[in-house]
Amino acid sequence: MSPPRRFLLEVLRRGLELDVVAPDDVLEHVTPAVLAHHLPIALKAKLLQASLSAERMTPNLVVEVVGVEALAEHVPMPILWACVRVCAARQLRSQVDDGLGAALGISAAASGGPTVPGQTQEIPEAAGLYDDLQLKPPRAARPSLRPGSTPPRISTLSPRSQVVRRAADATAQAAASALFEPGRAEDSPDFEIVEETEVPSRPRASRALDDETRPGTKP
Amino acid sequence: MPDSARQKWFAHMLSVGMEEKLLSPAQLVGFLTPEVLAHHLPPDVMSRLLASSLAAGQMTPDRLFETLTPDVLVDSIPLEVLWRGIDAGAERAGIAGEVVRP
Repeated sequence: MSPPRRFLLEVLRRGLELDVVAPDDVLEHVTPAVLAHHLPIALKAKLLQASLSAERMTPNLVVEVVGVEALAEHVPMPILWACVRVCAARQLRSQVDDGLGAALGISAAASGGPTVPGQTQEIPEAAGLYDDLQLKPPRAARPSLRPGSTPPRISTLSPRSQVVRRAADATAQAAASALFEPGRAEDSPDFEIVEETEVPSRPRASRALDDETRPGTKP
Repeated sequence: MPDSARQKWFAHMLSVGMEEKLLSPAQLVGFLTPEVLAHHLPPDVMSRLLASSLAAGQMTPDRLFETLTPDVLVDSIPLEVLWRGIDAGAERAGIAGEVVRP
């Protein structure tokens, strides 16, 4: 057996031992057509015989009867490596998932449901939580309002509005009114006090015309 | 020591890949760059690496991987990085060619 095939044999054998490669994964790539084309006649006969005797044909049985050695020896290497690639990619993905779960203090149970560290039973209500948390952006990416920080100011006033007193004035006024309204002393204003001001938009019609059309005595 | 099946499998791939000469220290250094090593190696491993290189008076890829065994690598280096090195080795060895289905 060539070194690349020995490498594939070892990778697949150890992967199957560690359950990171499943017989189903192997049969996803080493399809019946691949087996039919590449296995020697003696091995195909052995596989048929074993299946007939067991009255079943499963990926486990195929891998068991044919053997990883024979697969590594006869199946085209790109097909076997494609299988390794898929399994490795799955391991890398699940590593990311595990890392996320650990970071959130949640470990996915074998059933896929979440468990909370320190508690022995699973929480059925939290069944969708794990998925939701995975979809939630990381804390660093979420906007946060710390106590004491100034929230963003939002104004729905018209563009004609002008600020006439800013927060300092408003705070002083709030403090003054708090003397008469206990309980409001700690409230800090979340808004600005503004007044509508007259902004001339276009010249009015002439005064003379107004006087002409005005009912009553003319000056 | 690797504690998960995933880590054990990747360590085995590295180990057999080097044994069968599909992976070489010189090729792996292309993935395990000094930046990657500096970023991910824990201080005790880095200390051992520096001490052994200082004692030998040289630092070569081969010497690097005398200290950085597969078990040490899977413990400290992200598996994605190691996988890129393994996959590149397989490509180079002709294992990962185009899949032709019968």
